[in-house]
Amino acid sequence: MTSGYPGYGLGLTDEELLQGVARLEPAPFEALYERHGPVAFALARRMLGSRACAEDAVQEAFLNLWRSAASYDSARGSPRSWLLGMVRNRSLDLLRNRRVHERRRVAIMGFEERIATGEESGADLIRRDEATTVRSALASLPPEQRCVLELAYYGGWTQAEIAEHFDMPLGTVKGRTRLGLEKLRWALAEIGHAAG
Amino acid sequence: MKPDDDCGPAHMAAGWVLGMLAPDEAREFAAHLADCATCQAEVASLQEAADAMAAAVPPAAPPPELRGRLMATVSDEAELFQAAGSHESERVNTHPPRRRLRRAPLAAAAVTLVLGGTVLGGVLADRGDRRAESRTFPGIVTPAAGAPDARAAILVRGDEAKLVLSDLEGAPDGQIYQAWLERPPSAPTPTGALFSVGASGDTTISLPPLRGARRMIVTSEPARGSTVPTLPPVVIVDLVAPGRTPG
Repeated sequence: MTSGYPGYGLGLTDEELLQGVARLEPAPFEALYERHGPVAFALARRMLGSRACAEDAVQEAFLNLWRSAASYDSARGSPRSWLLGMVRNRSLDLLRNRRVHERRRVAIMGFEERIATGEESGADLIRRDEATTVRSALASLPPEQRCVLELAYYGGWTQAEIAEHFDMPLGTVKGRTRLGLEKLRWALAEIGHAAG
Repeated sequence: MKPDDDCGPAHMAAGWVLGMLAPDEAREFAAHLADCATCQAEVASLQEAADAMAAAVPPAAPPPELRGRLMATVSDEAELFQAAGSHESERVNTHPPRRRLRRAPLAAAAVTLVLGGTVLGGVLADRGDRRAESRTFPGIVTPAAGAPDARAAILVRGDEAKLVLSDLEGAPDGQIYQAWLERPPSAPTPTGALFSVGASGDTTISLPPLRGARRMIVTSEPARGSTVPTLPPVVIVDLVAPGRTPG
């Protein structure tokens, strides 16, 4: 389906679009979907390992954004972070409903380059470049720290679950969590990755 | 920034940000976080790094049908709200932006749903270009569960049904709201819609197809829900308008 509002929102920030969504205007909503739908869908598919489940998660997250845009609080992050947080939370809800071994299988899957189908817009290319940047930062971490972060972020694993599954002391997992996220923060800062 | 070395719980900040803490640890850190500016800053900083992980996945085009489904829902609801709140829009413009955006649309829509559901249903029904006929069924919120201006209505389009609630009180502690469909003479059947409401009291709940149902009720039930209603309904929506049945 093509956009009902072609070109709408090109010069507007995410915050400005979200204000329009809060006024229940479809055009800015569709502009936000155009802008962030591919990242949202990729994140959900990475977490859930299934296009169908990813569709459900993204649909629910965007409808939640549509219905609760007025409650957005800029002090808690950018609109994009807010949206992707909703995608992640919904995906984690779906993961928790799965059998444990299936959940673990999906979470452990390696990073797989998933090439988008169809034409890529300029924004898509920028985001692909951003993905490469963030992956570079992740790749700079020691593998054992990166593994802990990925299991937690994409698979919703707790520290206790990781310790049990990999038969390692809980304190070690806690240490790797803390060191890994701190190093990622510095690596992103060095690369110059901007949040949001 | 690095957390203050003297701040004992600061080592939990990363686990907190990633949602990895055990429940008792999470409660402990949440209580600490409320009063610790150092940890608040640390959490905010680490949160940015965690949020960036979403961008590590190469973007992938969602299926085109997803946009279609989203925009159909969004367009329906926007039209519903606009039809409900033309006078309201003038009033809300007098508020600061954040407040103005807060809740007027849903409240306005709900009021009009209750007062003029059939009219709105007609408005939506006329848009037969790409969507099935839409209908609204106004309902009531009993005084036990709602402020005097609490409102309830069900919007139906094809097999999709949404329960729109405004100004509903939260369920009692340890309980949750559960929606039921009544198809006499059978006992009410649970819909699987278990929900709570936030501080605003506003929410929209998806319901299963209403085929053959004569009434939708909401009761307050134990946290895991019930197989039969255990308390009187707090929301009632009659689904049988004269001369028609839902679905």
